[in-house]
Amino acid sequence: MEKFDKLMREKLEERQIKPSNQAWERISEQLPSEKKQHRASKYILMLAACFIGLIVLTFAFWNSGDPNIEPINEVVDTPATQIDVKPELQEKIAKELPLDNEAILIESAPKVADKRETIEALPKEEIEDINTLAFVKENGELLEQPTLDAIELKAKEVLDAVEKLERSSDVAVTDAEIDELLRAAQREIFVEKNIISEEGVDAMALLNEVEQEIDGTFRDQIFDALKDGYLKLRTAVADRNN
Amino acid sequence: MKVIRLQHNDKYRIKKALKNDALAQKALYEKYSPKMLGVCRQYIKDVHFAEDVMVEGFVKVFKKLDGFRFQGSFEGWVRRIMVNECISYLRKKQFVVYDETVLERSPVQTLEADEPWEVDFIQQHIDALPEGYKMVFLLHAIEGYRHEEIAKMLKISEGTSKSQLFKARRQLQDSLGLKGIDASKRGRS
Repeated sequence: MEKFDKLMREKLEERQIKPSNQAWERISEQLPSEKKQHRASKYILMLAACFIGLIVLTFAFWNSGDPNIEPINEVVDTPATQIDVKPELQEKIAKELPLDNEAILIESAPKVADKRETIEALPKEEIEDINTLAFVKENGELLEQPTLDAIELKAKEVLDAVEKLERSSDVAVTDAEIDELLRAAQREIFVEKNIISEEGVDAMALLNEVEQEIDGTFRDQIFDALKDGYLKLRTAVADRNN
Repeated sequence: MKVIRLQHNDKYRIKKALKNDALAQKALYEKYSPKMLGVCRQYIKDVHFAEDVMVEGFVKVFKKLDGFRFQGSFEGWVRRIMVNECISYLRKKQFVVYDETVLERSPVQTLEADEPWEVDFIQQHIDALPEGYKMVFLLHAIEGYRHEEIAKMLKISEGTSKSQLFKARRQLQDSLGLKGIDASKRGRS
């Protein structure tokens, strides 16, 4: 290193000049600020969230399925099962349920409804037998019979009462009598549900009941069941009278 | 104590400045700007123009801060950016002439000073050098670049760099009245 260069370097390196006050402002104006960056990143995040939401909605829309698509009927071959049934009952079943043993058309909801209608047209004792039959497995074992819920049981009780009334007196049962029976059944259902007790109305039970009614299921179930049963019975009585 | 020291540490400030922390950026600027304006002033006669170049240099420093790898000194890294900015500025303004004939003919200014070793006095003599001489002299003698590097930076040949340095030294020594210093070693470099 030459002495002259070293001397010059030492002298010049000492030199410091204070910049003007505006210098920093000019620099900071040209730099991206932290706040601006935060804002930009927020906008990017919001955009990304909107985009993802849009994708999810589109996906859900396309996968929701077309409600106009008809249910596919599937033909299933099932082997014939040997069931022990009384001979006279077998004849009646053959008349009422003309099903082919080799091929059964499986159509989930409508099939069950049809069976019920057919079964309900039979006398009570036979209905019980058929109910038992309906839950016999292919290998002959008995399945656990599902218990009817309180509403359906009440509906049956009302129907039985109407039938008894008609049998006991030859005169046709009036609408007022049927209404009375329906009201009694409704009261009993409420008592069973602990809404009405001997001491009076249970506030908590009533509140629960109101909450359930918001779903609009319980009351609908009661009246639908009673109405269906009543209409069927009246039709059956009318047919018999004819 | 340790926390306070850490907060005043360059590394800490640089890391904060990398996240665009304005306070950290300003702290670094306040620490290095007087020295950097001194560097810019060595190359550019007018202090206002030198400040303009320094401002642009600091903008580059903060924008390219992620390029600093914490391996050398931060001051050295900033200084290199400032020198490059000065070279770009002088090249844009077409102040630099490497034509030997023009340089030989340029008049040598005679300067008077009460204190011959005052920095301002030396600076005045450097300012009086032709731009080509001055650039090569400052890059080699003050910044420590090799002729190979200078040739690349200024887009000249190594030979031109060497000859301009030789002439710059001779002229400065003549004007400063320092002919005795290293007269025997002039040829080397």
